[in-house]
Amino acid sequence: MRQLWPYLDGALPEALQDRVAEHMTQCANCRSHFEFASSFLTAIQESGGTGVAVDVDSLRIRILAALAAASDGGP
Amino acid sequence: MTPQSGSAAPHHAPQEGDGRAQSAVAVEGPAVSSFERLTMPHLPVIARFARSLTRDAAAADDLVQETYLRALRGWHTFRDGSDARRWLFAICHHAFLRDVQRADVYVQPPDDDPELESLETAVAHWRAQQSGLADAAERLDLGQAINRAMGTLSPHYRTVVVLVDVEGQTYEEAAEVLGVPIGTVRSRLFRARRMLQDLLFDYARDAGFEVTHMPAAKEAIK
Repeated sequence: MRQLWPYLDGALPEALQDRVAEHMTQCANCRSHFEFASSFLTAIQESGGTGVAVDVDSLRIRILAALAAASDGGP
Repeated sequence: MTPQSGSAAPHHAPQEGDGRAQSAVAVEGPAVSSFERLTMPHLPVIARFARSLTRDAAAADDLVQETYLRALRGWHTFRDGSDARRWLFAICHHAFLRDVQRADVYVQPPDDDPELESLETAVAHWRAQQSGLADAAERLDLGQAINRAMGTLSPHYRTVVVLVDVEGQTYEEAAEVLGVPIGTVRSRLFRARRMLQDLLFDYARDAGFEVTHMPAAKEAIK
């Protein structure tokens, strides 16, 4: 289980990744940890990292105006 | 295509001490157009990243503007073919850190053993399974619970979770954005995930989900 996170991130050397995958097929305990952690990571990804919505259109207008002012040598 | 090491360090381009990129930028017509063409498509992602850092919409918008102005000033350092999104992430993070340091809330987290964090996460999950909290946590509105939990993490932990788990950066890419060793990314990321998991279990407990007794104890009673 020391390799739980690197395994889920696909960051282990191939041989070790395969060994862990093989272990998961044989160990129900480890498999349940893996499944929970995997769902957990999916939920983090889907959360977008923040609960605050972004008004992209308004922000884009603001950024473009700021860039134009900076390019014109504004204050 | 990933930028070569040292080739895209635009956060070093703006002058130190110039906390607000208000000075005139000597970038003219076509260069501005190419800058906008390459950077503006990443605005939604950078805005989302800024919100995850600041947890405040107004502060996030200010941070995004600062990011783009610094990027424009450092545009001459950007190499064709480099990853513009990652370049903007780095600028945004650097600008954010400067604000945090200025506000004297900078706390360097310890670098923990990444493998131990994985192990402790599994142990915490096992305990939660035994008490029924793991099942309860899975019945939570996970999105809402995770957003709440993310807000309690310090910026150093939150940033790495956002970069890797939300924005899909690898450990190496996140290390480049953050300007820290890969080992630091791993230790912060695994620690942050464990903290988030612990918070989820706390929320499940606080939400009043019924907690079952340990199966071993039930068997003993029979």
